Amino acid sequence: MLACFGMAEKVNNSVVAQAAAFENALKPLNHFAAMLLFALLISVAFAALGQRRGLERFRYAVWCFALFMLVGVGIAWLMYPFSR
Amino acid sequence: MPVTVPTKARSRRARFSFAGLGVAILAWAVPGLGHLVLGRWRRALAFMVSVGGLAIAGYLLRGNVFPEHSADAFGRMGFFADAGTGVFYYLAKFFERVGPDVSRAAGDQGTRFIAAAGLVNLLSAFDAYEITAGRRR
Repeated sequence: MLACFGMAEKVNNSVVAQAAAFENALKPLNHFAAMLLFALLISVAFAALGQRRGLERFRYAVWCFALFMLVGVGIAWLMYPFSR
Repeated sequence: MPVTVPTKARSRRARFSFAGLGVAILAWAVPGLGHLVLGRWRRALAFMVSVGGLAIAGYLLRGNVFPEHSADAFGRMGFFADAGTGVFYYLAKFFERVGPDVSRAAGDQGTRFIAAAGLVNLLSAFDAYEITAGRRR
């Protein structure tokens, strides 16, 4: 019985350790890095959805990414005076 | 005077593709699978990476995953968006073992990541349907 409890505790500890590892995986992600990741992944999807092919598709993804970043940083600066 | 729609255009609009529906369901269930079945492996890879990346990043940021039965309309819309991720919706419990935390900005960002993943995957499912129906390249 006690051995059974010991095993359960071991399993529980490993689950907690795994959860902590998952938790720490994206901890260094600040607001800018999160925006960068979001813009990158959405740009890839938008480029894939379009009718373009090859290099033109790649250019469209880069263009989308640049616009995402530009608009994001632009809106952040517009909101800056109201943040304090 | 009634406007006459050309027969070809009318038949293209009215035609329903059951094969397209099957491919769209595959594309929704596993992001990228629908396009892979159609032989468009580049698009399949792009959707797999973008939808999977957004969903997993959202879970790791401890975003909120909306349950099936929500009391309000926003909750239902949230579920609709989250369920759009297909198989990733059911993987939420694996990646987010300690539950969401929207008390921090990261959790809030994570919620948007998951919703965006779902919407992108739904768009990819529509795209797969349109390709099968012959309306897109």
